[in-house]
Amino acid sequence: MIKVHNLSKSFGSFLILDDINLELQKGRIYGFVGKNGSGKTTLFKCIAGLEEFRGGIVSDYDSLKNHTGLLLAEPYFIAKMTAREYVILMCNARDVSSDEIDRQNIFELPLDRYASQYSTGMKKKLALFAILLQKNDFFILDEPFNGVDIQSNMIISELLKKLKELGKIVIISSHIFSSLTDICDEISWLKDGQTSPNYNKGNFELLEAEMKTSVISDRISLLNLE
Amino acid sequence: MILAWILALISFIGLSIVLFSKYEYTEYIYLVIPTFLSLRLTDIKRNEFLKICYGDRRFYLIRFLENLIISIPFLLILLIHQKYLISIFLLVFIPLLTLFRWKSVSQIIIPTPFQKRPFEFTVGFRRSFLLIILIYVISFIAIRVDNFNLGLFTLLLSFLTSISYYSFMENEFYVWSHKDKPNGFLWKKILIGVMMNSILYFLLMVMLLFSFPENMVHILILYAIGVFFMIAVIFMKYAAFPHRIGLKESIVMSISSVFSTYNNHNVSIFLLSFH
Repeated sequence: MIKVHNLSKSFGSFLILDDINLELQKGRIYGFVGKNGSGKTTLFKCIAGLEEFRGGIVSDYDSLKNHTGLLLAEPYFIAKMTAREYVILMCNARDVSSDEIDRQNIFELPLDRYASQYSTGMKKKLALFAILLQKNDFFILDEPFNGVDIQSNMIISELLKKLKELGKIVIISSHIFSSLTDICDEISWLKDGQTSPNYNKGNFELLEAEMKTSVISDRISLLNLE
Repeated sequence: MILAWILALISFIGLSIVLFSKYEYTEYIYLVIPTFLSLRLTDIKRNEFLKICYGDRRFYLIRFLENLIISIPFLLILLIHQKYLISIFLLVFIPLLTLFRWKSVSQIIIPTPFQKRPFEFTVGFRRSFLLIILIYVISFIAIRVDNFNLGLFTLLLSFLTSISYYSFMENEFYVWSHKDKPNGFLWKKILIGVMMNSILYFLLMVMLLFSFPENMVHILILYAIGVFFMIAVIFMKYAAFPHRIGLKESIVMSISSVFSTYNNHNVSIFLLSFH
């Protein structure tokens, strides 16, 4: 179990996350929705330990970071490094064997090409592939479906279900609401720096309706479309 | 800014005078360096950006001028030293690089012996493979003409090249991903760095040691200093992380390099006194 308590984060005087409390159980997938700039990525980076914050995180793991697989919204790849070398580097970082990369290459990525020259979707798949090989227990996936082709999206969805079966904890964000409703056990709405009470599987439609009411409201009429 | 340019110009002229007065075949270095620098400007994204902004015709003109500006200082030095053949070659060759097929070059995967231990030496090797070839070529020349100083210079160049691989500051994610504690992380970086450098320049060391056995002590001391500096740079890099190595670290490095040069001289005299 992972408990996030009173997590707050500011950039200068701008408070982006305000007193966030979460309780993440093993074998469950947690979705996060929110507008661009609502703080999803910042929250994920704080939980991963890549950003400093006020508050605390406790978990069953001796070092949460070493059990965490982080997929950034925009994975960064060093120029002149092949995809194979990236995967080896990520495996070496966690002392995990990388001997069977070719057999395990489920996304059929061209591993001997420079990773920095991959397309957006391929970069995402490569970064995901690497954190899966690391044998993590906790996955933070920021926009894993973004830019990825339909076939690979299907594979990712099935992968997430498998991770859930294996008792892993997954937190995930996506701008495609349906992709979350298919796989998540709970979804939180990040708004004004705070998370809404969790919506569980039976209440996802209610969340969607609330978001529509709040976000759309009378805005479209402002355009005076004719 | 102006002061920096003046200092760079004085250093360049000073170094050129020393190199041409002390070493044979220096003109080849003055051909390879501008070629290497021009190739660095063939980055695919940069060139695409220039093409989009200025169109095909002006793009080629800009690239031609860039390559020409890079070669001018080297060309002038070559002409002053009456190396006309190399000068003509440089004048023709460098502008031709403008027509180089950027895409194909940037996508070529240069195989490295360091694939199992990324990333500094894998990436660095690909970025500097021309320079590595040059180091080996100069060392062959040094042995052929029996010039120990030139041989020592190649060893120095090899360490400078390897140390430059650590000037690249990786994204925080790459450091975060490691499960080791800071001391373990640094220890691994040092071990890999020293090991990879030894693999890359093993042949160079063997050639120098066999060709100049009377100067074995000098070679080994310079090697030890090189390793020491590589370790110092790794420490400096991660002391400044995630920022680039700053003025504070550079000052410490400069002071220690002065001391080590002084000590190298003293240690050499001390050891040679036993011969």
